[in-house]
Amino acid sequence: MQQIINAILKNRNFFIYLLLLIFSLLFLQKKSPYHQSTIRNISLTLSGNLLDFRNSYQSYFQLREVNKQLMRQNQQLQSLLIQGSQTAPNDSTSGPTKSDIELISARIVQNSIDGVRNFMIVDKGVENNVTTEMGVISDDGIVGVIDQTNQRYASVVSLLHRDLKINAKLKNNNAFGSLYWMGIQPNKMVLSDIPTINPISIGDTVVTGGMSAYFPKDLPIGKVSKYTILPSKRYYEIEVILFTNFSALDHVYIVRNFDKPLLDQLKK
Amino acid sequence: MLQENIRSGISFVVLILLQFLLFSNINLMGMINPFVYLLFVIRFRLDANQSLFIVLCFFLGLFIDLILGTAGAHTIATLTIGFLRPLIVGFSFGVNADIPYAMVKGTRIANQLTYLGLIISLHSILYYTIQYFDWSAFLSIIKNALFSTIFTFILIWLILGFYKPK
Repeated sequence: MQQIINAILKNRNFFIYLLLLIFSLLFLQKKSPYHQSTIRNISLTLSGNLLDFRNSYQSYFQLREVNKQLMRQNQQLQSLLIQGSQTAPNDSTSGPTKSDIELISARIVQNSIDGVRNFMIVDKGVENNVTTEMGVISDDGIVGVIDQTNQRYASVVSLLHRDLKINAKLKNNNAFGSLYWMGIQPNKMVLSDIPTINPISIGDTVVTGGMSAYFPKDLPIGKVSKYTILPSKRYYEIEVILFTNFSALDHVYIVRNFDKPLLDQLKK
Repeated sequence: MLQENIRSGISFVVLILLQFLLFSNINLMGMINPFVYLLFVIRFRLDANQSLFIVLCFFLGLFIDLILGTAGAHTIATLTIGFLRPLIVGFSFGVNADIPYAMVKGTRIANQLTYLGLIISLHSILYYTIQYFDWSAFLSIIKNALFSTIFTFILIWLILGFYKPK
């Protein structure tokens, strides 16, 4: 402490000069608007750069909150999207309609893609109003169907399951067929039963057909990567590359269709 | 000693009065004015308390600023010159010179001229830099500083000639 005081006393002229300089700069700023705006400009640049630097560290610690926010927003937007696509003016009778779809967001607890019949486990169960035979979708496309629930968890039949068939159609001409997995690659499925009178080209989008109550219609599934005409010349066999990346799935939405019990009654 | 301080005080006030009554209204070439109040900085004792001198320079510049209405440029320039004066004296007269005043008869003319020139030119450059406060006006600053240095130098040299040699 004594040394600090000594150092200050030794250079006291310098400190006096600095102090008076600061006073006079403040005085300058106060009296002259031009100088005031120039000095403010300098201070803005300085504080902008420094605060930017500090923010780049702080924002890292807020990532978890931001993530949760984004998940909530995504859920809302997806619901809106689905609801919007259901009310196309020319068909009001097929598939679930506007206010009947609810999305429940969930996280994948366990996943597998290497077996022939793959299952997943999600962290929502009966206490979150999840029942069997609900469809599961992700931000990119569809994921599977719930087949078993307990109080807090649910098991999902993944799309990558040889026994699961989904009703799907080509987006631009509404020709529908049956989508199933060959069991070979985790991102390729086969769409069959599309008659050859429908034109098709590589890159066409494949979406859900809406004929089953698992998924609302017009949800994206994948893209046509190649197609062949069967020997009978009446149907195509189309290979579809999925939009969903099953190996990196984390957040999904469970589709709750309020009309489903009514549709099931009719099926019986 | 007391007579000394009274003289300093009187010259402080007189110089300020002269500056704003007479010398700032000359406006040569539209805007160049001599800064005759620098006489105070030039003629102040060299062996007095440097801290006191810095504070006195601050107030000198401040009063000129307040009266003339220039926002702080005189203050900053005069203050800096007051702070740097020992360095300038060391440069002009040699580091070991032990003179009580800068402009006494005993010192050489060359040294005196250097001392005068440095103080006036530094002050002018600082003053105009603060006034413009813009790097793109560099040429204007240099031009104004040059002309005001010359003008102030001539006037101060003339006025100094009126003092009896010590």
